[in-house]
Amino acid sequence: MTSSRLLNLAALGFLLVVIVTIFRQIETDLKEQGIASGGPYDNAATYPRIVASFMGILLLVQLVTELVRKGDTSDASEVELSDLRRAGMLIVVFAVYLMSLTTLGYHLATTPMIFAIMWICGMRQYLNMAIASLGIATVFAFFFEVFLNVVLPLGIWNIFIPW
Amino acid sequence: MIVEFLSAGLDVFLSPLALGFTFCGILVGLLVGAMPGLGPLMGIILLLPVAIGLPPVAAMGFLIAIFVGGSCGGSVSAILLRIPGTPLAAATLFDGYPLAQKGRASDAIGIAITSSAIGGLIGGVVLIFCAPILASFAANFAPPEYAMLAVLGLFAIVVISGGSIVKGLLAGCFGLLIATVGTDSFSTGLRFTFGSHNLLNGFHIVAVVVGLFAISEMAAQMLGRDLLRKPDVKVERPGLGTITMTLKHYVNLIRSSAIGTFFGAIPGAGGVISSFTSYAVAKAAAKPEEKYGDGAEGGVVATESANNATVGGTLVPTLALGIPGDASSAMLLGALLILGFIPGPAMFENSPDVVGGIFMVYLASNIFLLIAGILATPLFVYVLRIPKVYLIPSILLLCSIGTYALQASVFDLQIMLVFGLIGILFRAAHYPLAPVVIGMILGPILEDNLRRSLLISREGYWIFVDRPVSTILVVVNGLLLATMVYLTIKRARGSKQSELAKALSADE
Repeated sequence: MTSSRLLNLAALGFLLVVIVTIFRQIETDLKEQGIASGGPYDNAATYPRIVASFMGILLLVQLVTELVRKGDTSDASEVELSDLRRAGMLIVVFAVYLMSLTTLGYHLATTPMIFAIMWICGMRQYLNMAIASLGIATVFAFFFEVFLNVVLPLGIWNIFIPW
Repeated sequence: MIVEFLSAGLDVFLSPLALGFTFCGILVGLLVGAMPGLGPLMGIILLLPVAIGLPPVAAMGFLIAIFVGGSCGGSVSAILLRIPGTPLAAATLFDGYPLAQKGRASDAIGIAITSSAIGGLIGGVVLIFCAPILASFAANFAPPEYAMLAVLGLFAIVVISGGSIVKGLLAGCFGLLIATVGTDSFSTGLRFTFGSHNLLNGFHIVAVVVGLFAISEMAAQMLGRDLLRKPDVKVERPGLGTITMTLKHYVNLIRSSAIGTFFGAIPGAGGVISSFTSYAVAKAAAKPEEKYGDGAEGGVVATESANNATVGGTLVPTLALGIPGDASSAMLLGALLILGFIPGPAMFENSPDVVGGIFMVYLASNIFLLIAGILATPLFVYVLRIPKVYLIPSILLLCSIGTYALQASVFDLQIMLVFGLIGILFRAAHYPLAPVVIGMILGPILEDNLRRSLLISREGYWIFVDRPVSTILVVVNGLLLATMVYLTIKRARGSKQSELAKALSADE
């Protein structure tokens, strides 16, 4: 299980990366473009620099608060590892689905994604799962393609349903 | 002036598309409001891609109706399951659930719907009268005032919305920085694009918001162990008699609606504060025999009328100044920007039909809420019985297709996923997500007006104290900043004392 301090430090670490990236980009890319100096019209770096600096001060305050909170290694919440694993698997399945959309296309990728999420949720009636996955994928495709004229990803095999 | 707006709005409102989508919005709002974990904000976020393909008034009608319906829908699960569908309905639990336990569930739902509709209409009257006056006053505002207003909007949300102020500010600043990505509108230089042509126009707000809120919420839902559970709820359709029951509490109704509208108009306060405040006031003013907390009709009237009146209140600064009152109105503001309208005095002057249309759809939403809410209650109860195992993949699918549909861009889907991961991290570390969205919306307003102010100024930053309204806003912002520092120190001391007490008790 993860302690609340570890999660707070992880969030601070992420925000620190954002701040460092901003300053680094200002010093390199923005300077090369000639938009990191001059008056308010030309200087596109002043505003992000002010915001990032303010954020840096806040980050320092939060970091000190975290470090001063001695002995707080309480669990983030009453979350069991098995529950966390389920949430993690959901994100992995969803990420794989998004990456495969351009290759497989909506119609080939969506039904397995829904099926997999149902399995992760603990459902084991495979026929029901297959019917529900296919049904949900088809209803959404019909709504977006017919009513909103959206062309869903066709994939490399150009698969589409001529409604 | 008000009549002009309403008559201009009536022409665009009386179209089958605007009326139809407003009605659909109410149904969708009631459904997402009733489902625990979703709510009006999520409803607006998920359906935004559908709305932006519509004409402006139909699109705003759809989204505003989701806001209105969603603010009320939470009461259904609060009354039947003792789980508020949204935080807005948390106070409805106190008397709504005991009423249901007494066998009066349909009465409680009927009272909640009627109070919400009447509260919303009262909020609508305030919106129609106050927004044009505020916009007319703000017509004299120049860049310094707008820059300070943007800062005020962000500070107010961080101070009032509770939680850690430093974390709120960090989240807000993160939102401000996200908004800087893309082509700079002044110098036309490229900022933080890392050579990617996909980032030339910055991040699409829908991709960011869907990721931050919806993806992280679905991951949070997966932590629960009730994914296959089918709640056993039954209720009959409320009768029209519940309207009479609600109207008997007319003083409570008007007072709570006024409280709701007031808190709605203050950026950051929102429906939760207003519903708890109006419940406390109603309880204090009630006779002992009304038995608040034990199934009093007045308790449901107070909370539900207040949280729906908040919607009208929150639209006042959103439309008149372009400063959103909460995350849901920030999304409405974002939708207006995507549709090509910049909220503020200019919109009142240049697009009176759209402003009037928004007034009309807001009023109509509340009337439709009464009709649809009472007629379709069995439908919402049925939705409560759908296990999460079907809802989670459906919502994820809606997120993906909706985000993809915006620009037919797979890159937007990747952005959505990245912000989903950021949302999960922020939630886990108790960082509020609303300031990120507000920061992203207010960011361009703040930067553009800050730079314009400095361009017209001959004395640098002194321009902000040269003009009276701007000076007042600088002082208010200074006071808010001082309050933030004070609250942070006070909370730090409080937590240190409690830790000390904990350590002492452990020693004993």
